[in-house]
Amino acid sequence: MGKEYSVIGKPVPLIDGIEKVTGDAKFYGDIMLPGMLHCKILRSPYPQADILSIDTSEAEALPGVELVLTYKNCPIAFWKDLHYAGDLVASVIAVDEGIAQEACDLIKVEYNPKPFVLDIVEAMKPDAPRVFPDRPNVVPGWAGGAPWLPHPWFYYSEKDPVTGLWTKREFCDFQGFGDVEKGFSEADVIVEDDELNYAYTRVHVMEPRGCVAWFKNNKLTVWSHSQGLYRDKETIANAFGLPSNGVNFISPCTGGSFGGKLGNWVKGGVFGGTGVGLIPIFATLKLHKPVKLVLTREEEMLCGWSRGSWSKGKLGFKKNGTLTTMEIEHWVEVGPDRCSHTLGTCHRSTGCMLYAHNCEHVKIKAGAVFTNRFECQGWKGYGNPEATFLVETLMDEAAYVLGMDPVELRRKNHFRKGDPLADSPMYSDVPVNAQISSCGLEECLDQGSKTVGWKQKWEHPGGKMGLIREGLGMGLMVHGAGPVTGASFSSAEVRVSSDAHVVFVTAAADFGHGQHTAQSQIVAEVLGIPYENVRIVCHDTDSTPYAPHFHGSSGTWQQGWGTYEAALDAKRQLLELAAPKLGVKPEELDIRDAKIYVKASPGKCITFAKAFLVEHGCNMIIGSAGTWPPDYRYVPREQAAQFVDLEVDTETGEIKVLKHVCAHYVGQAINPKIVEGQLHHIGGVEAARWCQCIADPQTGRLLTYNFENYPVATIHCRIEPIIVESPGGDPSHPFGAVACGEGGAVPTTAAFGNAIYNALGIRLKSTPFTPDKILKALGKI
Amino acid sequence: MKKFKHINARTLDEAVSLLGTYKRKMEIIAGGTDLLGVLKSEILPTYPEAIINIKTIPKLDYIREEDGALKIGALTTLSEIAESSLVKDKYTALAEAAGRVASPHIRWMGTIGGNICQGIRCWYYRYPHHLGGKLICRRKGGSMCYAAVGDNRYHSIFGAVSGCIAVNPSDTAPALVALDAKVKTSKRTINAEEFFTVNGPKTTVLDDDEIVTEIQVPVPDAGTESAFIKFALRESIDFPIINCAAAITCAGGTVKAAKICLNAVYNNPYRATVAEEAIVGKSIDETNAEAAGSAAISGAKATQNNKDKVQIAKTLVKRVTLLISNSF
Amino acid sequence: MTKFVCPYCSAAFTNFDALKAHVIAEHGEARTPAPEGLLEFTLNGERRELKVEPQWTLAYVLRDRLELTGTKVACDGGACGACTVLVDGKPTLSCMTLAIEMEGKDIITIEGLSDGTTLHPIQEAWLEEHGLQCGFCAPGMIMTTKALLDKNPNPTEEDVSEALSGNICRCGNYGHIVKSVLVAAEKMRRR
Repeated sequence: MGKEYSVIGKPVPLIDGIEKVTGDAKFYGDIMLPGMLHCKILRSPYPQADILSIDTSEAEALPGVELVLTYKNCPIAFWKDLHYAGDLVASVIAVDEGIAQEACDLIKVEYNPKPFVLDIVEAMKPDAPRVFPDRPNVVPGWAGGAPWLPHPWFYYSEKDPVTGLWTKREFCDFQGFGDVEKGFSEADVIVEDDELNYAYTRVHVMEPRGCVAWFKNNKLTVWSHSQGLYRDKETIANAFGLPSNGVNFISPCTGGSFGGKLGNWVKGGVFGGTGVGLIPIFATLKLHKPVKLVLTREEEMLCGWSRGSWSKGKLGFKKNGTLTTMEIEHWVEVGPDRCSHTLGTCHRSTGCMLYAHNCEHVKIKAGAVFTNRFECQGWKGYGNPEATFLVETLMDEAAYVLGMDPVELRRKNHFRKGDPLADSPMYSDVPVNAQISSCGLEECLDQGSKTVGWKQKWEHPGGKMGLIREGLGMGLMVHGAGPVTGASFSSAEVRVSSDAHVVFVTAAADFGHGQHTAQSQIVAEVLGIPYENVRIVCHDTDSTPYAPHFHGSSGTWQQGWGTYEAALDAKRQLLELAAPKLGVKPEELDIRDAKIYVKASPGKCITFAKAFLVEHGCNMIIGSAGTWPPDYRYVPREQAAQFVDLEVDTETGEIKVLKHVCAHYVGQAINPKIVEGQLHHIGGVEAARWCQCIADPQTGRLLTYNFENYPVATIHCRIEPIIVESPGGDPSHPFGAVACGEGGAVPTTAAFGNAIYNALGIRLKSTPFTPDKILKALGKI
Repeated sequence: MKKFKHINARTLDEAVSLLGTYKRKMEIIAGGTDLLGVLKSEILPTYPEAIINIKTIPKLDYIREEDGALKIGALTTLSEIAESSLVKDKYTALAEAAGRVASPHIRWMGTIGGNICQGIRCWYYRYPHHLGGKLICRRKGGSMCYAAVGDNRYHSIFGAVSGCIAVNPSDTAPALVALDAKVKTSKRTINAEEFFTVNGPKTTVLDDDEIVTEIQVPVPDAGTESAFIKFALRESIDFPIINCAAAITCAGGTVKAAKICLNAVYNNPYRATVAEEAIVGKSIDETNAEAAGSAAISGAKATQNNKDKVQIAKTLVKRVTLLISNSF
Repeated sequence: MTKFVCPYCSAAFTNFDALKAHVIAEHGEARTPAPEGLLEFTLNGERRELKVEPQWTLAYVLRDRLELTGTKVACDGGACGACTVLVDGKPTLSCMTLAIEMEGKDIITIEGLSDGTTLHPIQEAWLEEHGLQCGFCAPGMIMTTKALLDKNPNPTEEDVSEALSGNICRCGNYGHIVKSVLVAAEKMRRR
């Protein structure tokens, strides 16, 4: 493997673990302030309606009520037009939750209910009721189709004949390159399928969203969950016209986010979001008292939906399995939110990226579709799982048609290191000729298939006749692993004391993915000190330097350079202090076990304390940095393969998972235990087996409003993680790390669907694969 | 939760007299795992003025065999029943049913009395008030059964009762029916089957001022075995999509008597008498078990959304029968 | 003649000792009712007295009244186990428990597990084996584990899965959680 590290690659405990196992860790909901007020929300009974009149006088008169907010006095959070059953109508701020709830019942609202649409296919019909009167339900994903979409689409039109890299891209109404018609006419085998549907599913946070806000002494303090403290702070400051230093955003802990809590400070933004966080902030700005909002679980279930795709595709192959051509049409449901941003990743699973090695012709048309189904917010996988469901199902179908082992078909076509990127329409600052910086897919396929016993067990479904039928399936995936925009500018401060202990100051958010720990490991490694010598200060924006909002499971990558350079800056200063004492030049020195030593004769060493002893007296070294990644030409990609071995009960339609493996390429694991934890992710399994949005067709109400009706995965649902590393890791990160985490969510439904096909010889095209669908496919009902 | 008065009953008589005083404006609390959900979500048109705690009534927590019957106090927790070797050995279906209720926590907290008196889980009936207003369905005195015209994938496959197609979600109820149990209350003793046979928007025949005090299960005849199977999406937490209990008495390889009961298929636990008739006098083999399964669902009236439940019900009856035959 | 009347069932006795014997025998669990709303219980080993309203859940009282915020509320409906505390040693969903019914009970929360300097072996195991990611489920998981290991010091992997099957972790960290429990069991056996 790669370099010998002393802290990197070690499964050290979480740096905030003790606080979390003792109950000391404070999440925003644990903040109790003197005189704190509480919010409750009145929600729409109708999936589509206008408020004709609203009378809050009785609610305002109730003793204990301090403020009632509606679209009239708080248009930033409330609208007159309502677009889902449960949409925000009003909020009461009162001395306790009980009074606030009681007052909600006293608000008199007259509604004008309007026709609504709850189904993506229905919503696409020309005569379907419109979710927004001023625009069609169907929003093409390409430039010009929707002015509020942030990402134009590209057609890669020219290649360098020597390097094979793209040299030119043009705006277009689709994403891709080549000539698909030519490709299909030259193909030996064509596979196509349509009406693949990934159910609308929900982000799986444990901690319901909300915040505590207090405007005092002309300064706003907000306690909440976060994926990026600075992003949240700036969004809030902008929304309320406050100066950036007039807001302190505090987020010591976040009880899970998975992308789903990103949109709390905006209503109806392109990233989606409820805007519920705006309510207590608006209230405290008016009342100057602390105000708390914690959504109930049922309210939380109204938020954070996404996926819900309808797609079709066509693949062209040579006889030997070479994938040459791919055409895809893909629509995703975005509820009544403009969360069409997720479309930006739907091409990752195609010839633009995953199958870039051989594919010469790709055409993807994708778009978003509005419905009246609840608040939409991109989360884990962010548009990729639904597209991967389509592509990896088609690849499986192709393997059977070609008479090839599905694993071998993937091997033949997956991208290699150095293959060109044609998948980044969102980020115009990706160099046209960017290359994929490393590839571990081969190893993922090797280790995953070995663990599941693919070679011994996989067989064509034809002969399986028993009551219980076993099947094996797999799916491959690639995802973004390092966004190349302002979202990868990072900074940090490293304060070194003479006893070789360090305070590491960062705004890096840790929402359960162990980022505080991983970054602290980087600091310890660079400075040659034990991990235990690092303490982290991270809980608010006032005391820490900028960090980007982490997404795409890329925190380690996004923050990596800032942390590394800050620690390196401290190390440089330290070695400069030490050099005269050891009679050498700084570059001849290094640090190990908290000792500064001469590289040529390691026995010659001094402690930090010795190095600190200078004429003027040095009490502290402060290393700092603010930086972008140094090189954008090599772009890392997250890569994984999942393998499922399952049994189908043909009398009940029940699935029993025998083995479920996620082999994930991570470059270099900074902390293998944290990485394993990321691979344990259960979102994909839930989506494959049970979970989906169910809305009442008559009233538009959400029926999956709790953990009973939306059956979240229990401890019986376990995934075997396999960490795949490469020697030296990925060149784009100071310690070779690539993002990891999305691989647990993205290929799962395809792997399950493919395994069911392998068991039964029947292709299920709509998730989740519940007993009723299996029994129906078997002709039992 | 909104305010209510909370009264600890010290005796059964006190509890009964309080129920009389408050009429319908009072709810009984034992384990609380059903009631608190109802109150938090404010699903009912009325909210109780008072909650009467019966956990403070002494000596309602026991498992013992006497006078030819297993007697279980109404406050006995489900985990105590599931773990009792006496119940496991001789009243297997009941132990297994109690052990499959919800989650370990709920089984520690929930009582057998509460489990047989619990409300329905219909997702319209339980729709939380604070998500746009409670749904006043047929069962709550409204005009419409939302499920009948809406998404009824988990609802009745044997039709409506008083216009409502919700199902009884209890896991222990079918076991008690199969084992021919009796429910003793503060005023009478009722056969389990009759206890659950209601026509209105209730899950039991209890009067407003009546409290369950004891479950009595007759010691099974020699040669009797019982079993319970639950079908749900997850291995824990879930209420049943369907469950099934059976008690079968065999002699010389022939079925002498059988009681088979499905639940979560109808407003009441559904005794599959046709299935029982199909196997009595026969030996249990794959064919006869299959026939019993098919007989059990004769007369099923599935909706467009829950045809799978019919197939699953049929399979459960078959499997519970075969399971029992394996234990002989 | 003075009558000694049982406050619970109105039975009459001729002397106080007879009444006392009767109360102990017949109403063993019953205690003298506390003054309206004043609740007395043991919390993490300390006797506590507190005025509660009838509709307050135990989770609310612990978190909002006593500021023991280690106990978390995630589903508030009994379907996730995050709010688990021990009541007389049994894993109890504090969000589905009325505080007013805790009279005389012995309650242990996550804050009662370690003494501030030494971690409980379960907490140690959680730390070493990364039994937590975001940490929101950890207090409930750990308390449920305590109840399991107190009862069964040598659990199998299936025992662990069964005991924790009412505790949801939305990070999906179940593999590490099972390992943490098994390591904790080993640590506790060694002590």
